[in-house]
Amino acid sequence: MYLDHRLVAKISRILSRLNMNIMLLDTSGQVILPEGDDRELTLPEALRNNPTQPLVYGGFTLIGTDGLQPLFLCLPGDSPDVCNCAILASELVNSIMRIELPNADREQTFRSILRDEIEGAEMETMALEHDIALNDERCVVMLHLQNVDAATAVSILSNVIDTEKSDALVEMDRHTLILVKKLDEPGDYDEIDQLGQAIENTLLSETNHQVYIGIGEPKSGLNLLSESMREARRAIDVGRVYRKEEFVFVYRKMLIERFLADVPREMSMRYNSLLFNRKTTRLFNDEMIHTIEKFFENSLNLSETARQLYIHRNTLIYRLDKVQRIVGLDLRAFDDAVTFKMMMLLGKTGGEKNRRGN
Amino acid sequence: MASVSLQHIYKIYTGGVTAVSDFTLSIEDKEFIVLVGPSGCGKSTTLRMVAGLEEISEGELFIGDKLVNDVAPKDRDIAMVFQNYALYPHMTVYDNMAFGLKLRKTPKAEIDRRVKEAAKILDIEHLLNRKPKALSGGQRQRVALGRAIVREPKVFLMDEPLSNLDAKLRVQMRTEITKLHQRLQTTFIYVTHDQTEAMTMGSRIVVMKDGFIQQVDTPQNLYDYPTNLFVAGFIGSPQMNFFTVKLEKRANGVYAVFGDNAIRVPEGKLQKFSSDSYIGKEVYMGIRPENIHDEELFLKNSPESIVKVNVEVVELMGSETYLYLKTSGKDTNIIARVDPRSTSRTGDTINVAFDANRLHFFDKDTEDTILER
Repeated sequence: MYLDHRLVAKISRILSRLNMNIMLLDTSGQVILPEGDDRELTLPEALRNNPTQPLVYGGFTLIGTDGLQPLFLCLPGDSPDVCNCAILASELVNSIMRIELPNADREQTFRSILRDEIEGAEMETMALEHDIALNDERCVVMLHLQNVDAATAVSILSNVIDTEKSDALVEMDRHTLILVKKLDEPGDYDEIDQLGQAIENTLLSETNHQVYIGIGEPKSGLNLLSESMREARRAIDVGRVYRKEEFVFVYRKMLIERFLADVPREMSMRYNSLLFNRKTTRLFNDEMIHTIEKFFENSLNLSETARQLYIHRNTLIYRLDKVQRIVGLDLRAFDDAVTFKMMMLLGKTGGEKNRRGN
Repeated sequence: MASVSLQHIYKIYTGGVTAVSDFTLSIEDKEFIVLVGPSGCGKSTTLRMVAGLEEISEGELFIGDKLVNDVAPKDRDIAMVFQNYALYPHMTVYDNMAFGLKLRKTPKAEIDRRVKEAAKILDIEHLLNRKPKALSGGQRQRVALGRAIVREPKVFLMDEPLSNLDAKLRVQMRTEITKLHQRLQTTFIYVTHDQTEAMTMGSRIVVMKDGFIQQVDTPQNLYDYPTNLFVAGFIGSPQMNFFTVKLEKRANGVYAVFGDNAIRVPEGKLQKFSSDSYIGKEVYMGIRPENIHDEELFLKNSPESIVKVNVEVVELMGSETYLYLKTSGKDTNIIARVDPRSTSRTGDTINVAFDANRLHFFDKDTEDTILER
């Protein structure tokens, strides 16, 4: 039986209230709690035959939980009080499992689908078993959590995401969380970056740590979810290189960046150096680059850029004229602005310190 | 409700880039303080340090009496309203406002009370069951504010919350936020790059540049007594006109001379000079557009502050008229804000009078004011 980190943490928290050093083992005897204990213990046959009946063995009291694949609890001591405590502990774990297990199994199914571990008939059977529609339109929202563990993020987001019916939150590893988002209506995908922003805001203000979010394309069919996940991951990888000020990246909206990322590094460097080279180092100092970036950010609007930078409009014009004079590109003209922007972005591909845009 | 105190705060990024330097400010309980400055001046970084979203490199931050440098944002009892007011698209307005409280395990009845109360304050009670896509930009921004209000924080932090709205809505929301502050009686820290927003909303304004505080004062004092050339130019729209002048002592007084023009500096103004050593030297002189007059009466009463100008452009604004003027000793246009009944026309050569009592003077090297209050 797979127990995710969040479920183990919940059981651990509740068992700790009993003030006993309780050990939790899985069906095979592998220690789950305390964490860090990797032993695999041999369980008495009598316990396996009748797990819900407490068994005193070697100074310990052992008991199992309900179900075909019970978990086992091991408490130090053999007094009647310890026995009662063992019964109470197993009932507590049973209650948690009754509530959490259907979700955990559903989550595990999604995890297997996303990892391409199951397909075809097996996938269909598991999806049916956990009430997961096969052909709903869904997309993958990937959360790359740098300093927050996935379990914490799940506990926060389970308040705002409907994980019981339509959506699923799946821990892929300690720092990657996947939201499989069902798209009910045609316009839902248009709002997906808003959802991404809202999640980013929530996690930032609740945990104090920045989260990167990638959003894959919508897919109709469970078997295509892994592709959406790969797109989401790609969006994050590319976005972190080319859009350093942003934290939410939608794969669909990153066509240029994806294209530039595919340009061989050598070629990127060659083209980037046509503009950013030793001769132009003084021209493209930090202030000039900041000015140009602001100008692009404001859609080539001179007045608004000058206002935001608090420089005179003429100063801005002078700076742009200087660029035109030295490199021949008039950044006020759309075509030249696009050329400059592309060359600047190419500089981010290699990451060399002497090139602009890092 | 709480005071906020920032003591010698620095933000230094890896690589040595200093975003904020020696930021010291005491914000009173219930105050509405606005951080304003051009892009990249460190105002948002400062706010994010107060919020706990950026680590403080040096210095101490107190909220109330508590040192909060190492306190997590969720435990600081603050609420932040971001620029992009991201709402969960699948949740109703009610749920968008309530989820922060749910996270904190607030009892349902209490959540309900707070959400409804905030909705009433923001006049969005009728929208509680709607989803964000059915809301206008202004309504969405109100919901974002509502989400902060329900938390009943000690301090509200707002990072350019109106910059995504169109100009008309921005003006409307400006008033709404001011009213909200009066109603909630809580400390507000508000960041903007828009000096009009700062002037109209803040009870005190912090003007920043390159990571340093330039001046902290009330809007009126900032306008009337700018501490340096930067503040003088940044505050006020259209901005103050600047001239490089030489202060010349003549038989009947001290004159500010530029090009062919000479303006007599009033005795009262001279007494406010921090040092006599400026006489005979070049300084920067500033005058606000509304202190340049073309009315007959003013010209008659101010014979010693008359400047001959060419009118290059006349902009009729309805309630006032802007004249773009050219004169000797100044390469760029002077802007004068005059009465809409002004008869000056493009191409005219006219006389204007500077209100000499409203002149500002700044040291040419330090760019600090040389006038004492």
